[in-house]
Amino acid sequence: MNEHQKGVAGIAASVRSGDISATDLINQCLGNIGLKNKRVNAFTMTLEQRAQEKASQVDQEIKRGMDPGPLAGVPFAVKNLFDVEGVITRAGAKITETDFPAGADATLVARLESAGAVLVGALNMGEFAYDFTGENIHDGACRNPWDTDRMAGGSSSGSGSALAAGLVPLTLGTDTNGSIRVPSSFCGTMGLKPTYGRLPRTGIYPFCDSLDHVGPMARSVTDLALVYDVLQGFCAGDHACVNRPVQPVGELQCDISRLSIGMAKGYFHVDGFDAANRIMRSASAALSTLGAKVEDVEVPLVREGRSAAFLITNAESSALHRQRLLERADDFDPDTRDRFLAGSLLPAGWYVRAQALRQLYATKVAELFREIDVLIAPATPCYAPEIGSKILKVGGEALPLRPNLGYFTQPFSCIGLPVCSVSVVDSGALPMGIQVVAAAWREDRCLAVAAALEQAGFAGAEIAPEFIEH
Amino acid sequence: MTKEITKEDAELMIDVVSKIVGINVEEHQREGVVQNLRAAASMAELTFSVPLEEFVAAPVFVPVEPFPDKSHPAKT
Repeated sequence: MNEHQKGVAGIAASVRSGDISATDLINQCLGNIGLKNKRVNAFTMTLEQRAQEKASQVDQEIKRGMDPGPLAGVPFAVKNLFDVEGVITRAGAKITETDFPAGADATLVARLESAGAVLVGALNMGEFAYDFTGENIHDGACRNPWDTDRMAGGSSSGSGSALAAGLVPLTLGTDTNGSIRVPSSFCGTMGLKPTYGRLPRTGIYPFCDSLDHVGPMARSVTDLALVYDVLQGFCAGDHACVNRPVQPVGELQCDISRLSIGMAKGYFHVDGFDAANRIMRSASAALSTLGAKVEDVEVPLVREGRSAAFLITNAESSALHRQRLLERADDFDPDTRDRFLAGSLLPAGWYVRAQALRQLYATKVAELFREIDVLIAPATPCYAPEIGSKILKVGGEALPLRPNLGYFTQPFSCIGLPVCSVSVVDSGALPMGIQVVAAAWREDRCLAVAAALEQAGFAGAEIAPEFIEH
Repeated sequence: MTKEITKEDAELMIDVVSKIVGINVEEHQREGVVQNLRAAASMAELTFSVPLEEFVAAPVFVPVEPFPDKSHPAKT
């Protein structure tokens, strides 16, 4: 495998030790994107000059004996709703193409670059993040490297696809209802959606303010943890960012033998979602083998909580886009537009009720976390569907595909819990993930359990074989 | 408790509410909007199925930490 297709920690170690210069590595990476991106359509833009300048800076620092940071020379890319100085923030839309370029980098982009990482481009996404499929009528569908006829998942579609295609070792995504976790599951990557309010969203095109999260995606849990520690810290620019002490996860504690782990049943076990049910059984067996106390649990009010997330998303996002709906409705993707239009007509009482229910639901689930340390749930109901699919078949029943891809993820983002999406090593030809969920502010527990599963060989994220460079 | 919203109800909702909120729903957009309104209504029905005490706070969300938990028992 070529140097640039290593993981985050491996690349940083090679650059810091002088085994390869950041400049050579970034040029390899950009060359690979130029060759392979057309097969997956993960990147909507590359930033050659900026990346080469930053890589040169990293090399100069190393030459002078300075510390370039823990992510020295690591190439990364961001969903194209992150502000990048001098670049128009697209958010996957046509309407934004005439906006002014961003005046500064998003806070998380700046934090990664301060740690030595090198931004190489912006990534495809579902329009205005209202999507689970990765299909985008303006930029074209983002394709799944494991089978390019299939969806990458959304809305952080490029963030998952670019990792699985080995184009970069690190991406940033956003997650309002599952937009990090669905593409992580479909593309076979690891993703972290931290607690609501943990990481600042400053400089990020919003979707639904009271539900929007940001987080990293990578090909190993170790990499996720390393990057998560770099990203942490209060920022007054995001009103939802909570001013708490940074809680670095550092070296992950992988002994989970003292943990109580709940396997989500009821709502999370649907007859007909065979692959999801199978990996939940495998996860239960793996966690038991690792010594954890494993028990089946029901998540209280989960169905109602998901409904609340649906309504809140619809109402808040429609309010955000009101002016664009009035002036340029037909420049939206029709599917997205019709959802926004409907959301503009919802009674206020529905929205307030949904927020009230959400608070009750959060309280009930917090009570569950007095009894367990971590909750395991499937990430998606199925493997990545074929691009263009509209129907999800469950047993003999046909359900609309788009909203149901987030069936398992929406209940947890609704109440802001930290979730690590973990790609499971399964016998199937396509990847699929589970969610490792913890109580608010306990990202350390999500990552520890994910790391234990990875070390035990139950979980793992790889580059799709056709995209590996030798 | 809300009730199921029919296609006709959703059409009526579009006609009346769109005027009130100043959103124009064009003919070619109606079918999609109707479908989405009916989906939203079924979600609303679920949220109203749970008894709730008075909710007087502004709709601002705060994550809830479990306390006491196994690591942080309540002081007695």
